[in-house]
Amino acid sequence: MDISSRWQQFKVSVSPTLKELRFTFSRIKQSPISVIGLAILILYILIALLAPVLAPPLPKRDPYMIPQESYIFMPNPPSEDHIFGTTENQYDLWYGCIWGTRTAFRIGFMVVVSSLAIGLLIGCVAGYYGGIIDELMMRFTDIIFAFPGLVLAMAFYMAIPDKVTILQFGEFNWTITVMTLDKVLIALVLVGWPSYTRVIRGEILRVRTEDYIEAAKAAGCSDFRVLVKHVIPNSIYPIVIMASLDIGAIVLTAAAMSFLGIGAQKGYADWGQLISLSRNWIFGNMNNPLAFWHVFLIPGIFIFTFVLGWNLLGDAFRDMLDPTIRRR
Amino acid sequence: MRTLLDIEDLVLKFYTYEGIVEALDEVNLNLKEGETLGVVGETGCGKSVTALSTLVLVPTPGRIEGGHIFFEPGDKRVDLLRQDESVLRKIRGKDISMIFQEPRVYLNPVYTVLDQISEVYMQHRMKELCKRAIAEIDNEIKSGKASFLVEFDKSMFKEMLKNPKSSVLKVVSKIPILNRYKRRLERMLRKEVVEILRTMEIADPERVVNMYPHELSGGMAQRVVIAMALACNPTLLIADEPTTNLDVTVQFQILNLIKILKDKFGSSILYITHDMGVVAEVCQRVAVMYAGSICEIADVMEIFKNPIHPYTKGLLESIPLPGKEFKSIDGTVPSLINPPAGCRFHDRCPYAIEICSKMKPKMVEVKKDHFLRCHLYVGVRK
Repeated sequence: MDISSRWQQFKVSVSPTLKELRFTFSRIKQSPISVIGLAILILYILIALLAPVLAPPLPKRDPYMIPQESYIFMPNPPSEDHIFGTTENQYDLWYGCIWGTRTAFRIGFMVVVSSLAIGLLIGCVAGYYGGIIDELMMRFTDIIFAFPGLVLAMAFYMAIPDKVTILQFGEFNWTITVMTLDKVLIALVLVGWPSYTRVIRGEILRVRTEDYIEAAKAAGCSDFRVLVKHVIPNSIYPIVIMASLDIGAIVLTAAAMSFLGIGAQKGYADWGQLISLSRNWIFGNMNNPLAFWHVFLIPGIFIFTFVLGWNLLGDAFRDMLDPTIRRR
Repeated sequence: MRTLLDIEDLVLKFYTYEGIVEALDEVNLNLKEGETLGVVGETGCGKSVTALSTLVLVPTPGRIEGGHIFFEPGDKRVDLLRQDESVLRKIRGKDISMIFQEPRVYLNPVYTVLDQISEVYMQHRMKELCKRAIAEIDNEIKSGKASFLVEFDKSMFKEMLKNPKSSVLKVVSKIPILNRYKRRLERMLRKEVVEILRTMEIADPERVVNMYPHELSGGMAQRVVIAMALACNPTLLIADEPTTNLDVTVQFQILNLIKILKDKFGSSILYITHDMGVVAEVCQRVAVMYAGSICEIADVMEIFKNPIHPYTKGLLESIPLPGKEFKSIDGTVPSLINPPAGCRFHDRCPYAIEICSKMKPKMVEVKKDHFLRCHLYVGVRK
């Protein structure tokens, strides 16, 4: 078989997929709000990818640590050297905002994906099998729900040790140092999974009684297959949308924790920390109350638009994924 | 003719909050090979539950309390109620399959028609497909059209034939380029599905396979459901009111289709309905069911000409016809939580005698192939 006929064959085989993809984009294009959301996020993805170009890190230095000009306490306004100016202790705002985008994506994705995985697993087991397992798991999630999320996350943060010894064998010692940012991530996951569990369990309880599940059983599918191939695909949309909204919300929570002093180590490129550094400068002085506007406004805008982008995209995800809506 | 399905004294109860619902009370049915047996009765008399218990898929809180369901597809006779779940899973969809009343809710909304029907193939006919794929590859090699990767595909199919759950396959199916054997399989499945949809007399099956359930019309959806049920040439097809929600012209087409397919695939059909007209159209024998038990079984012509059980008579009289005075059976279907003692029909029966309220009648063969469960007839015969 020669190359051209092979290429033809390949084109035929991928054409349905391409058609669906084109259709997906045409759906998104129909709602301007989703387009705006998508545009914002594409911009942020570009910023994150191009961070080393936009803000070249100093050689032989952790690129996530913001360069510090000097130790002068008072922020400097935007200038030619520092496009966004500097914040408290002369951290460069431009550098912090650009590299902070990567941190924001990392916080958002890692927390949401881990919470989703835990929530899906527990929700599926509880919802599909029911009975005493369901009862136990749901009461446990209720316990976590009973605490205010931020406070509980702070408690978890405090409870996670700095150094975890995985293996100790005579002289041999395998220890992992937990970064402070990772501690924040773990704490947020531990607080975040119950809401997914709740939603997915409810959805599974609904889908489980649908007639097509009975039909699948009548066609000879095993329990596991019914769960994975029939129940989960029908109950996943709400939590996918929830997750896309949550990516934004988690970044906000992480920023709030940073503001309270629980977050990445000082000087780490993280929007929450930039905000927390601006705490002393929100009110300038008697003559000019907005003397240090750039210190809180610029990171604020970054956080605001990032969260907004995810929220706007939530609806687009639903239009894309749910076949009963997308073909309408 | 050989008996294919034999339901003996099936007792099924629902344990609900209100009390114990005695849904099935000693149901006796048998179905011969290649035959269409109609089960008729009012709503709530236990027709659908009988069908579901044949697949041992009784909805909770139901429980089968006694009886046997013997199924004899080949030379082996198995009691379905005393089998492992894994054995049953192999029987469901392959030997016994079911067509449901409301086709659209029985199709999974997130999958296309192609996905839904090919799932049945993948569940039960994987080996056959693999063998055919290997044969196809051999042909390609002979004609010299094959590329060097085909040998690898062939070994994958062989592996699949040997052990469908092998870990090698699980790994390979995740690796791009190497998993191209799956594409061949998909192509074969697609061909197969298009073919079966064509037998269902669906117009333009190539387009329909890519549609989602909500895009299908009622008639089309029912054809797809029938295609799913017939995908593995089942020996027994249970049709649970497949035409109830369709308009009359589509109903006629579907009934015709079922008749044609029955001859083509050689399946036996358990046809559940409340429509005597449909029964006359498709069935060879009829079982009349009332409040959880069978009251009369006979050939179609026999039932229509010489109904013996008072309930069957009432049922036939209540078929509306132009120019006929409309008659219905007095009273209502009894609650199955506290069913009437003795014969369950006695309080609505115009010919009830004393013994009817005291003793449950036994199933007797009054004529050849005409079974009846009524004191009256036994009494008259004496």
